[in-house]
Amino acid sequence: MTALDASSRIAADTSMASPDRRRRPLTPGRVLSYAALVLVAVCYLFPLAFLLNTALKSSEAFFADPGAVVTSPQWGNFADAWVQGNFGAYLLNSVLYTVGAAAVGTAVSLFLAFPVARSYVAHPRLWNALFVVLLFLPNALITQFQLLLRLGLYNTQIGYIAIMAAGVGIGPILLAGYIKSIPVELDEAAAVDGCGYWRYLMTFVIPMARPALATVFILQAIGVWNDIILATILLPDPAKSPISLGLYAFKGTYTNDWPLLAAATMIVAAPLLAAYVFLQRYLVGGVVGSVKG
Amino acid sequence: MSTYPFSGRKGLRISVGAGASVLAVFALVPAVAVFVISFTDIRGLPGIPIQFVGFENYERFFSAAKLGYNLNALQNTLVYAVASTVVINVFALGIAVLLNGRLRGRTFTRALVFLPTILGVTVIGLIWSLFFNPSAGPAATIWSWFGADSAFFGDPALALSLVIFVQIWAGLGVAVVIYLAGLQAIPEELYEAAALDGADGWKRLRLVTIPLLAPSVTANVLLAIVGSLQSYQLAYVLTGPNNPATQLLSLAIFAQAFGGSTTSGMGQSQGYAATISVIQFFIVGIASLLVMWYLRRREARL
Amino acid sequence: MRTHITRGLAAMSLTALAVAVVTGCSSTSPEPADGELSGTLQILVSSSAGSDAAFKEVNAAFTKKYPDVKIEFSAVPNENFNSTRSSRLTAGNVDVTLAQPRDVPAFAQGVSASDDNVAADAGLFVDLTDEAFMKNFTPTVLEATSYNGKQFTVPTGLSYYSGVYYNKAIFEELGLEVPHTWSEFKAVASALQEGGVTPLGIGGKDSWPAGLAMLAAVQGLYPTADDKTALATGLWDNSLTLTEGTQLEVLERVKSLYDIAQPNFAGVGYDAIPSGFAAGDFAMTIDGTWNQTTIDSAVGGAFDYGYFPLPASEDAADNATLAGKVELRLAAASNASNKAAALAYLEFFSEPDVYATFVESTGFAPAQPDIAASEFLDGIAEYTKTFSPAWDTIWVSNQDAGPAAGFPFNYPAIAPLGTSTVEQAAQEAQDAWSAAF
Repeated sequence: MTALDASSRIAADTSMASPDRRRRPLTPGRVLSYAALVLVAVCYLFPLAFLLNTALKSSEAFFADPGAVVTSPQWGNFADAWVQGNFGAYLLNSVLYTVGAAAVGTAVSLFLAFPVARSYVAHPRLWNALFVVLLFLPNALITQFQLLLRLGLYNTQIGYIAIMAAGVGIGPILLAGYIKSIPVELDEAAAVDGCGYWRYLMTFVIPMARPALATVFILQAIGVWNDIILATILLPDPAKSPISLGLYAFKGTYTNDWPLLAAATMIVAAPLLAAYVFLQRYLVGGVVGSVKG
Repeated sequence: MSTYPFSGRKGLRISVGAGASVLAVFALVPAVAVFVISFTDIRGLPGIPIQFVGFENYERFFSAAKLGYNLNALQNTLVYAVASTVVINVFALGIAVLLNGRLRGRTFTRALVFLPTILGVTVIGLIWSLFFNPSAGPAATIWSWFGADSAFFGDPALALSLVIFVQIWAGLGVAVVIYLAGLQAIPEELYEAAALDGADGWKRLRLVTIPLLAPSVTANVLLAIVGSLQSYQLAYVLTGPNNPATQLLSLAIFAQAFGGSTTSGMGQSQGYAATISVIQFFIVGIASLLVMWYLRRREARL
Repeated sequence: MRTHITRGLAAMSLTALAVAVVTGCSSTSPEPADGELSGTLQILVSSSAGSDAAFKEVNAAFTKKYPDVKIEFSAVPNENFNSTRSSRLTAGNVDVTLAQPRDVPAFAQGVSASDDNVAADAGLFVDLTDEAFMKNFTPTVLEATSYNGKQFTVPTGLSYYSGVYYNKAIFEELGLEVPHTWSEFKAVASALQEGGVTPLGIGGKDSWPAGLAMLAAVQGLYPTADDKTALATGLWDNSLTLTEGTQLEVLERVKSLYDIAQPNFAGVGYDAIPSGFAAGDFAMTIDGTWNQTTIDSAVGGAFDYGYFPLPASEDAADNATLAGKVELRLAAASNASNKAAALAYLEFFSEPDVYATFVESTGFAPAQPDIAASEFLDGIAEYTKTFSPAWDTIWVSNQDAGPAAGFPFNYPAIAPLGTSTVEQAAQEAQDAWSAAF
């Protein structure tokens, strides 16, 4: 937390000696900052509160007046949504796919980004170009399906995880950029001390690149968590469906049971939010100190 | 090109090999295959012979009948991409700086801002459709305070702006996270040095923070551009696939590839869908490369 | 020393691998299940609240009769249905699914065939023409669903959709009667407006509900199948244009309907219509009989409602039939792993008592004779005596034409859904249509 303390202390005012946070003077800057913070929070809270409000209504109350505040909260909607969506089984599938694919994808990004950022491989510029191309590959749904079919991985969880893991998107670019801020001298120092490439990667680079790694992991995890169409095509077996498909099952063509749908949405979002709150610590616990060298 | 300081190459070869294989097999091969099938009339159903038809699919895309429609989509897409990219990045930077400081409630706000990303595009579309319900939604209520009423997403003049608004609301989370990670990588000693040189808060922002955030800016701008050029689900949920006012290129691709809302009877070839994907790839690629080139130049200059 | 891969070599091998992925034969289908009915039966349909529930009931009954068969039922949202079905058919991973092979009409020769037609030609769907259970269905319906003289699908029912649900209570209150001509309809609308009631509800946001208005207009102005076929033929050989005569009248009718619809209807979704109707926000709505069960539960008995064909013509005789279509059509895949069970399922589905429960749950009109229809469907029997196919089941668009000529009546361009006047919209469609020739 030292980096944050330092920068904000500097940003606040010139008196650098005050350790007691509560007695920090209320400058106009801070008032404005708090006002901005509240504004941002409201902009995001209001629609989400609206979602919660909808989730707690009964169907009739919703149809009667979609915009009104709920008077008799139907907590049962959550239970109904859970049961109808069969979310228990789907949740486990989703966790498996998300963690598996994001972990593999992050590893792939790291394995490729590090040597390219350090130019330990030939033609680093071409590799960088490849990383950029990875960002906007054409939608290859049909051909990925054909690939898995011919590899015998159609309708298997391994096959699905492999395809999702390969969707690294911005991972390599992000990691390569971050790794450039880790000084090369560290590599050389470790090598001189007899550390091998692999050990160096595992014991030094990974801890140092933690914020970027966490970011890349989260970005990919979200992509996998929210994926519907690849799961529909590559995993037709209902027992293997992820939870995003379960949510989709609610969207009927001619009717939308909005309150139930809202409840189901919140159920689906909850685990990922919990994971993010947990992983946030890694983002926050910066390793700026060790980079100072 | 720095020299490799470690003794053996085995670790390097294996890790690069493994990573490259995964990417090659599961991402690159299918992508190249898309190019290949854009020159065929493949149907996607078994037992039907596949024939190479050369550039026929491309000609159909650029034919006079379709061109006006596609150009409209392109125009909308450019407006959408530019507006959302610029606004997202400006706001995200501001919010990230805000959340980086020592303010109470910032962890909570940080989680809030990121929540839309977790909810997913479909859900966000649903929430805002609810919100902008012309008969009884909260937006209608707010509009009525000003004595106006509107069809919101149904109004051709307003629809695109609203879609952009929702895209910005939804896209801020990821951008903020990336900027936050970038902010934390800035060594504090630079701030201290700047303070010693007499720079105040704003100056430090301009001279220290923003230049050192350049890689994050590049990353975010790229993400935003690619996202707005490729993703269609938000516009699809908010306004449907056939609304000319919000017709985006990616949405047009989806609609043309899956026949839109016209009846069955129109032959749809997956080869044609692949063609459109390829064309989109080139457009997105050129746009991204141009932006990247520009940003990299600015990065180097800074 | 560097890790070195020649770029060219890599690119070439990638391309070669890619081509190999694409060409090359389709997968082998798994061994068929042996002996009496057992194993897994995989069913894939497009999702919709009414039909999903009905299918699940049928599945439960089927499992009771054949306890050794395990049914895997997938109902996929409409947007994903086509790609899901094609991938599962390719993988041999589905036994019963939906299909719509349709005879290409004479006027549209030369149009590239639809997926289902090509598939049927290639023998992908089991030929059901000689199956005994097909005889349970009404002959006229079977005629409508035949392809190349053969039957490949089991029709699950019919829907009608050129009609108008109306709130009987409001009509009674204002002393209004069901209109039979266009002028009468306009008079009813004016009376409603004077009485402070919005006449019509349209779910414009989803676009296609406004298309129902267009289809209803076409139904009144071109009542019989022959009229419609003549219209289509005329458009295809360019002897008729969209900017003149009755064709233009279609769009004018649509505009008049937009004018009496609720304010800002362009932003109202289709899902909001039943509740709006039930709340009395508007007195009428153009909708299909597929939605009757939903409207019924929304209204919940608060008032009586009825259904009459939209009288788009000035001649009452032209307005006496509802336009309809055959709803979902079930087919069995030839490369199914459990063909025996697939056919048994179709046979089971076609049994009159099973079929009757299905139809009751979905609200479809029965495709079999002598099935007790719902009270609602009985009420409109006079309009459904003869089956009149709806315009969108006859029209085939030219894929080289611009998108504005898809329907081909350009209803989405007319304000407030779009920004054009009736003439402009018609001209736009005509230009887009001519571009194909």
